[in-house]
Formats: sequence, C-alpha cells, structure tokens
Amino acid sequence: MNFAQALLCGIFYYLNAGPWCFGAGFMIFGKPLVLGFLVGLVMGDPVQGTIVGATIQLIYLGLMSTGGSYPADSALAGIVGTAAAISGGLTAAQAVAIAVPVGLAGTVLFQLRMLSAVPFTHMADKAAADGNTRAAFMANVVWPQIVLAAIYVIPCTIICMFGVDAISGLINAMAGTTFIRVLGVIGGMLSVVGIAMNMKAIFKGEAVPFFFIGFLLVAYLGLDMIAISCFALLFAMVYANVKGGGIDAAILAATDEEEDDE
Amino acid sequence: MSNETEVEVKRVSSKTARKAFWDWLFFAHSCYNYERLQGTGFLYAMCPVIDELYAKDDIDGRRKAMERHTAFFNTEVRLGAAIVGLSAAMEERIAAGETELAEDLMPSIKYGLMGPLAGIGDTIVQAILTPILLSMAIGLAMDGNVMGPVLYSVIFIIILLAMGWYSFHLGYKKGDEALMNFLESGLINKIIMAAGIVGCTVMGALVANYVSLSTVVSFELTTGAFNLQTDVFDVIMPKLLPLLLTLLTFWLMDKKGVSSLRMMLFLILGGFVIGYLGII
Repeated sequence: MNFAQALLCGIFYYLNAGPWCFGAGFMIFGKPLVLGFLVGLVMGDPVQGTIVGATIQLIYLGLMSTGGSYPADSALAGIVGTAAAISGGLTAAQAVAIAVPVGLAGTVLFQLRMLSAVPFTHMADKAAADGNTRAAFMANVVWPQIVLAAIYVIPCTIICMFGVDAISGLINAMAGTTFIRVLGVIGGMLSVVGIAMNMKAIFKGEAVPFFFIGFLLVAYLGLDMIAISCFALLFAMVYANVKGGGIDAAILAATDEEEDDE
Repeated sequence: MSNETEVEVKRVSSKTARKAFWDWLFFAHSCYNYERLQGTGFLYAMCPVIDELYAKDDIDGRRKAMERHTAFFNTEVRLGAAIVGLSAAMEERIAAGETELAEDLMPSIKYGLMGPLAGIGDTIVQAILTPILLSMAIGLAMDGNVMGPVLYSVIFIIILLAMGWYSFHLGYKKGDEALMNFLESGLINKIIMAAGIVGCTVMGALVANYVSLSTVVSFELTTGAFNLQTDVFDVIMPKLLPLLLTLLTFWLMDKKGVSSLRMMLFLILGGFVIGYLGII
C-alpha cells in the first residue's frame, strides 16, 4: 500500500471518531461494512472490499459503545482486515481472524483520545468563567479535533503502510498449511459473537420465537436478508395488531381498570 | 409552557435555535473525555442561545449562563437533543427574569432526563437500528453489491437526523411536560417491542446465512462412507451446528457473563484445538 492510500485509510479512521459525519461517525465510518467498501475503493477493488468488510462486520454486529465504554475498535479492524485481504489475496474468513486482534489493539487509541481531551474541558471552564463563547468553540471544536486527528490518522497510516503487507505476506507464506485452513474455519465461527452480543439486548420475552422463525425461513427456504427483513417487519406489524386490538385487549379493558389504557 | 410571572419571554430566533441543534448534533462528542464526557459539548451547544440572549458587554450574565452548563453530561446524542432544546427554552425564561429556574429546575431536568434518554436512545440506535440496517446491508454486500454500504449510510444518516430534529423540537417547543408525556405514553415501549421482533427475526436469519460450522468427520463402513455432517446433522436440520453454536455462545455471554472478548478467545483457541484434531 502506498502513502496516499494509507493516508486515506488514516482519514477514514479519523472520521470514525471525529464529528464531521453529522456526529454519527461511529455509526457510519466505524462500521467495517462501510470501511470495507471505502478501503476497497482506495485499493482499486471495491467489490472484494465490500465482501470482506461485510464479513468482518458480522463479528461487530452487536457492538455497543455506551457511557464512554468502547469494547472493541471495529473501525481499525475493518480497515486493516480489508486492506490485508485485498493486498494479500486472503479469503474473507481469514481476514476476520486477522481483524480480531487489531480491533482489540485499537481500543488503546480510544482511551488515549478520552484522556487527551481532559485539558480542553478545563479550557472550556475558563471560557465559561470569562463568559467567552468564542473560547468555548476553540475548547470544544478546534483544539480537540487537531489532537484527535493526530491520534487517529498517524497510527492508522503507519499500520496501513508497513503492517498490512507484513501480515498478508506472513499469511501467504503459510498457504496450504492446516493453520491457514483452521484460520478460515474460525473466521466462519466468530460471527456468532456479534450476533450473540446483539441477542443479549433483544433476545427476550415475546421476541424469542421470531429468532427461530427467521432461522428456519433461511435454513429451509433459503430466503435472502432483504426478504427476511420484509417478513420481519410484517411479523412485527401483525403481532402488534393482534396484541393491541385482539381478544386479550378486550378482556383486559373489561376486567382491569388500573392498566394504563387511555 | 406555563408562564405565571408577568415577564415577557424573548425567544431566540429560529436561526439560533437551529444553530444550537446542529452544534449539538455534530460536536456533542467533539471533546469527549473521561472527566465530563459530553459536558463540554453541551456547553458549546448552548453558546448560540447565550450569545443571542445576553448583550456582548453583559459578561456577568454570559458567565452565569455558561457556568450552568460546564458540568458532567452524557446521553444518547439524537434523543438527547430534546434536553438541549429544553435547556435552550429554559435559558430564555431565565434571561427574562425567572432566575429561580436556574437553581433547581434546570439541573433536575438536565440530570433527570439524561439517564432515561440515554437508555432508550442507545437501545433504539445501537441495539435495534444499527444491527437491523447492518444485517440488510450485509445481505447485499456479501453478494458483492456495493449498494449495501452506500444505502446503509444514506438511510441511517437520514433516520438519525430525523430523530435528532424531532427530539430537539419536542424539547424546545413543547417543553418538559410534553417530553415526559411522550416518554410515559408507552409508545416507545411499543416501538422497542416491535423492533425487537424485527431484530430477532433478522438475527435468526443471519445465523443460518452467515455463521459457518460443519464437521469433516467421516468413517469407512462396510456399507460405504459415513459422513457425520451429511448423514446425520444435515438430515436432522440444515444449519444445525451454527444454530447450536449460536445458542451456546449466547448462553455463555448472557447467563454466564462471559465477555465478548473472552468469547472470541474461547472460539479461537477451541477452533484451533478441534480444527487440528480434524473434527471441523
């Protein structure tokens, strides 16, 4: 990967943490699905990049960053995983196995970012004490973003320039060994972690049977994800109708006065 | 919004209100840090309002207003825009002379609402919207269709903007009572329930489509080759092993409290062991 390509990857990585994407950088530039496409575009193979990115995305599907926590750096994993796969001709599943340790290492940068902005919050205190709104702009936008760009662009650019080829070269040197075969098998298994992470949030109560309905629709009928999403939406509408306007509601209204019926 | 006092409340121009909204939406996380999280972002979003309410030379008024918003703050950015709108409306009343609001109502609303809105907002955005949209896009992307990531980005940004804009106006125009009514109306719970059904259906489909696990164990019998995968598991149910692996993983992570990182390590180590043994 040449310097210009690596620098672009570094900028994508910064956009994941910075405010410029409508404040939703983490939701767009933090996703291997999107980064796979972008890195692929930069390296001249957007289609393969999209496929690899989507595969890496699966392990981070249920990733949630709340209250200042950051369990894994899906962005760095997506960038480095995709770049290694394209430059080394790896399969998507092998790229997943590479992405996992990278995603772990990236969390250090998030902690660095959270620490590095503390002085600016005190700069903002000073601005408030002076009643100076212009200084608040400097404290909240200008200085933190200069530092943030340095923290994110520089390491990612260096990794992309020097690390990616090393990783893919190493994997290729071992081509045909059991190690590489097993690496691919593990890549196929790891996507359960992303799914299970999301299930922790939604796999409960009335929604549980629908998980198995979705599974069976694909296992037996082979429907694709768009078809499944349409069915899922209709299931939810039918279920809400049945629950809200069905026999149960009538009985409830007749017998139970303290329910929150309007 | 009730107005018992005689004072005339001057509302800021709609341009200023819009600026506060965009400043919040873009820069809430700009100075994200371990000490105050979004605290500085909140101060920054209030600056356009303070600029218009207090004259340039009213340093004392500006100082008091700004210092009301320097403390720790953290919520979900889109739904939390309601708190920014609400605080802007309260700053207008404080500037009009209802200074008693500054001591008790303002902090109690800010810190009373940020928790619930974070809980609801993170659930809607990160536990429901993100995985569902991602799953649909992954379906396209796995076939090499670059519209997967493109559509995901465009649709998600539109939804997030609409959410933020609606919340901000609910807070700014309708006030705290309307916001509480909205939160307690049960509408949000209905949305979360319906979205949970969509999410679960899609997760089940993902397991069957994209988790791969199969055994390569086979024996030579007198009647011919016996393949554990095709002769046993596939006969019981296609994709049985991915389903069992998913349920086991979910059980370990949800009921046994295994972290996602540790789970990945288990899978990598376990995968190497049984992979080298020639089982998978």
